[in-house]
Amino acid sequence: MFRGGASVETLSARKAGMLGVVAIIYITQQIGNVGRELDTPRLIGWAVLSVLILGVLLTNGYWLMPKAVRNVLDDELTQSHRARSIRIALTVAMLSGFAFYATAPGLDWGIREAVHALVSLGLGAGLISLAVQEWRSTRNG
Amino acid sequence: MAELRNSLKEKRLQLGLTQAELAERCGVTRKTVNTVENGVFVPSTVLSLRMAAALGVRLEELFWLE
Repeated sequence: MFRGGASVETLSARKAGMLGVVAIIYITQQIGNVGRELDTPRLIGWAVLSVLILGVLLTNGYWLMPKAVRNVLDDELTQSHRARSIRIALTVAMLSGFAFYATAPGLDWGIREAVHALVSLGLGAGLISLAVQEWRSTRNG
Repeated sequence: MAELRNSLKEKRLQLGLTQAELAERCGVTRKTVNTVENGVFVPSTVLSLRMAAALGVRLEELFWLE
Protein backbone atom coordinates (compact mmCIF):
# COMPACT_ATOMS: atom_id res chain seq x y z
CA MET A 1 0.00 0.00 0.00
CA PHE A 2 2.84 2.36 0.84
CA ARG A 3 5.30 1.28 -1.82
CA GLY A 4 5.00 4.43 -3.91
CA GLY A 5 7.00 7.54 -3.14
CA ALA A 6 3.86 9.66 -3.06
CA SER A 7 2.40 7.69 -0.15
CA VAL A 8 5.59 8.00 1.88
CA GLU A 9 5.59 11.73 1.12
CA THR A 10 2.00 12.01 2.32
CA LEU A 11 2.90 10.27 5.59
CA SER A 12 5.95 12.48 6.00
CA ALA A 13 3.95 15.66 5.40
CA ARG A 14 1.22 14.59 7.84
CA LYS A 15 3.76 13.87 10.54
CA ALA A 16 4.61 17.52 11.22
CA GLY A 17 0.93 18.32 11.82
CA MET A 18 0.38 15.23 13.96
CA LEU A 19 3.38 16.05 16.15
CA GLY A 20 2.05 19.56 16.64
CA VAL A 21 -1.37 18.25 17.70
CA VAL A 22 0.17 15.73 20.14
CA ALA A 23 2.38 18.49 21.58
CA ILE A 24 -0.67 20.71 22.19
CA ILE A 25 -2.58 17.82 23.81
CA TYR A 26 0.39 16.93 26.03
CA ILE A 27 1.05 20.50 27.14
CA THR A 28 -2.66 21.25 27.70
CA GLN A 29 -2.92 18.06 29.75
CA GLN A 30 0.01 19.12 31.93
CA ILE A 31 -1.22 22.69 32.39
CA GLY A 32 -4.60 21.29 33.42
CA ASN A 33 -2.89 19.09 36.02
CA VAL A 34 -1.00 21.91 37.79
CA GLY A 35 -1.92 22.05 41.47
CA ARG A 36 -4.32 19.13 41.16
CA GLU A 37 -4.19 15.74 42.88
CA LEU A 38 -3.87 13.26 40.03
CA ASP A 39 -6.14 10.22 39.99
CA THR A 40 -5.07 6.89 38.55
CA PRO A 41 -6.70 7.26 35.09
CA ARG A 42 -5.00 10.64 34.58
CA LEU A 43 -1.66 9.23 35.68
CA ILE A 44 -2.03 6.27 33.32
CA GLY A 45 -2.98 8.61 30.48
CA TRP A 46 0.08 10.78 31.16
CA ALA A 47 2.38 7.75 31.43
CA VAL A 48 1.10 6.18 28.19
CA LEU A 49 1.43 9.45 26.26
CA SER A 50 4.89 10.07 27.74
CA VAL A 51 6.11 6.61 26.71
CA LEU A 52 4.71 7.12 23.19
CA ILE A 53 6.44 10.51 22.87
CA LEU A 54 9.72 9.00 24.10
CA GLY A 55 9.30 6.22 21.54
CA VAL A 56 8.76 8.74 18.74
CA LEU A 57 11.84 10.74 19.78
CA LEU A 58 13.99 7.61 19.92
CA THR A 59 12.67 5.67 16.91
CA ASN A 60 10.51 8.07 14.82
CA GLY A 61 7.39 5.95 15.37
CA TYR A 62 5.38 4.36 12.51
CA TRP A 63 5.79 1.03 14.29
CA LEU A 64 2.98 -0.63 12.35
CA MET A 65 4.46 0.29 8.96
CA PRO A 66 6.74 -2.05 6.98
CA LYS A 67 10.44 -1.61 7.79
CA ALA A 68 11.23 -0.32 4.29
CA VAL A 69 8.71 2.50 4.70
CA ARG A 70 9.98 3.30 8.20
CA ASN A 71 13.53 3.54 6.86
CA VAL A 72 12.53 6.11 4.24
CA LEU A 73 10.49 8.13 6.74
CA ASP A 74 13.40 8.08 9.18
CA ASP A 75 15.94 9.34 6.64
CA GLU A 76 19.04 11.37 7.47
CA LEU A 77 17.21 14.67 7.80
CA THR A 78 14.65 13.24 10.22
CA GLN A 79 17.40 11.49 12.19
CA SER A 80 19.20 14.82 12.58
CA HIS A 81 15.92 16.42 13.74
CA ARG A 82 15.40 13.64 16.29
CA ALA A 83 18.98 13.89 17.55
CA ARG A 84 18.59 17.64 18.10
CA SER A 85 15.23 17.15 19.84
CA ILE A 86 16.69 14.50 22.16
CA ARG A 87 19.55 16.89 23.06
CA ILE A 88 17.00 19.61 23.84
CA ALA A 89 14.83 17.21 25.88
CA LEU A 90 17.84 16.08 27.91
CA THR A 91 19.03 19.65 28.48
CA VAL A 92 15.60 20.87 29.61
CA ALA A 93 15.17 17.84 31.91
CA MET A 94 18.60 18.39 33.47
CA LEU A 95 18.05 22.12 33.95
CA SER A 96 14.61 21.42 35.44
CA GLY A 97 16.24 18.91 37.81
CA PHE A 98 18.77 21.52 38.94
CA ALA A 99 16.03 24.13 39.36
CA PHE A 100 13.84 21.76 41.40
CA TYR A 101 16.79 20.80 43.57
CA ALA A 102 17.68 24.44 44.21
CA THR A 103 14.10 25.45 44.99
CA ALA A 104 13.10 22.24 46.79
CA PRO A 105 12.85 23.84 50.25
CA GLY A 106 10.28 26.33 48.94
CA LEU A 107 8.21 23.82 46.94
CA ASP A 108 5.34 21.88 48.41
CA TRP A 109 6.07 18.90 46.14
CA GLY A 110 6.71 15.25 46.79
CA ILE A 111 9.11 13.13 44.75
CA ARG A 112 6.31 11.95 42.41
CA GLU A 113 5.25 15.48 41.52
CA ALA A 114 8.86 16.50 40.90
CA VAL A 115 9.54 13.51 38.64
CA HIS A 116 6.23 14.09 36.83
CA ALA A 117 7.15 17.72 36.15
CA LEU A 118 10.72 16.87 35.13
CA VAL A 119 9.64 14.15 32.66
CA SER A 120 6.86 16.34 31.25
CA LEU A 121 9.11 19.35 30.73
CA GLY A 122 11.85 17.29 29.06
CA LEU A 123 9.53 15.33 26.77
CA GLY A 124 7.40 18.40 26.02
CA ALA A 125 10.45 20.41 24.97
CA GLY A 126 11.74 17.55 22.81
CA LEU A 127 8.36 17.06 21.16
CA ILE A 128 7.90 20.76 20.41
CA SER A 129 11.41 20.91 18.96
CA LEU A 130 10.76 17.90 16.71
CA ALA A 131 7.39 19.27 15.57
CA VAL A 132 8.89 22.66 14.70
CA GLN A 133 11.85 21.18 12.79
CA GLU A 134 9.63 18.78 10.83
CA TRP A 135 7.14 21.54 10.07
CA ARG A 136 9.89 23.88 8.86
CA SER A 137 11.47 21.29 6.59
CA THR A 138 8.08 20.24 5.23
CA ARG A 139 7.10 23.85 4.56
CA ASN A 140 10.42 24.65 2.88
CA GLY A 141 10.69 21.26 1.27
CA MET B 1 35.63 28.77 6.62
CA ALA B 2 34.83 26.82 3.45
CA GLU B 3 31.18 25.99 2.82
CA LEU B 4 29.72 23.01 1.03
CA ARG B 5 28.20 23.88 -2.34
CA ASN B 6 26.34 21.58 -4.70
CA SER B 7 24.98 21.32 -8.20
CA LEU B 8 22.22 18.92 -7.23
CA LYS B 9 19.36 20.96 -8.68
CA GLU B 10 21.20 21.61 -11.94
CA LYS B 11 22.12 17.94 -12.45
CA ARG B 12 18.63 16.80 -11.44
CA LEU B 13 16.95 19.15 -13.88
CA GLN B 14 19.32 18.05 -16.66
CA LEU B 15 17.91 14.55 -16.24
CA GLY B 16 14.35 15.87 -16.05
CA LEU B 17 13.82 14.49 -12.56
CA THR B 18 11.59 15.96 -9.88
CA GLN B 19 12.76 16.17 -6.27
CA ALA B 20 10.35 13.37 -5.40
CA GLU B 21 11.75 11.11 -8.14
CA LEU B 22 15.34 11.71 -7.04
CA ALA B 23 14.29 11.15 -3.43
CA GLU B 24 12.75 7.80 -4.34
CA ARG B 25 15.92 6.77 -6.19
CA CYS B 26 18.01 7.66 -3.12
CA GLY B 27 15.64 6.14 -0.54
CA VAL B 28 14.92 9.42 1.27
CA THR B 29 12.01 11.86 1.47
CA ARG B 30 11.59 14.84 -0.84
CA LYS B 31 12.21 17.31 1.98
CA THR B 32 15.70 15.84 2.41
CA VAL B 33 16.51 16.38 -1.27
CA ASN B 34 15.15 19.92 -1.03
CA THR B 35 17.13 20.83 2.09
CA VAL B 36 20.33 19.44 0.53
CA GLU B 37 19.70 21.43 -2.67
CA ASN B 38 19.19 24.60 -0.64
CA GLY B 39 22.30 23.99 1.47
CA VAL B 40 20.23 23.78 4.66
CA PHE B 41 21.22 20.16 5.34
CA VAL B 42 24.68 18.64 4.82
CA PRO B 43 24.25 15.00 3.78
CA SER B 44 26.44 12.14 4.97
CA THR B 45 29.07 10.61 2.68
CA VAL B 46 26.79 7.63 2.09
CA LEU B 47 23.83 9.77 1.00
CA SER B 48 26.10 11.99 -1.11
CA LEU B 49 27.41 8.91 -2.94
CA ARG B 50 23.85 7.60 -3.40
CA MET B 51 22.80 10.95 -4.88
CA ALA B 52 25.81 11.02 -7.22
CA ALA B 53 25.06 7.46 -8.34
CA ALA B 54 21.37 8.26 -8.87
CA LEU B 55 22.31 11.22 -11.08
CA GLY B 56 25.13 9.35 -12.85
CA VAL B 57 27.83 11.89 -11.96
CA ARG B 58 31.04 11.88 -9.94
CA LEU B 59 30.81 13.03 -6.35
CA GLU B 60 33.16 15.98 -6.99
CA GLU B 61 30.83 17.25 -9.73
CA LEU B 62 27.94 17.26 -7.27
CA PHE B 63 29.57 18.62 -4.11
CA TRP B 64 32.55 20.90 -3.52
CA LEU B 65 33.94 23.30 -0.93
CA GLU B 66 34.01 27.02 -1.64
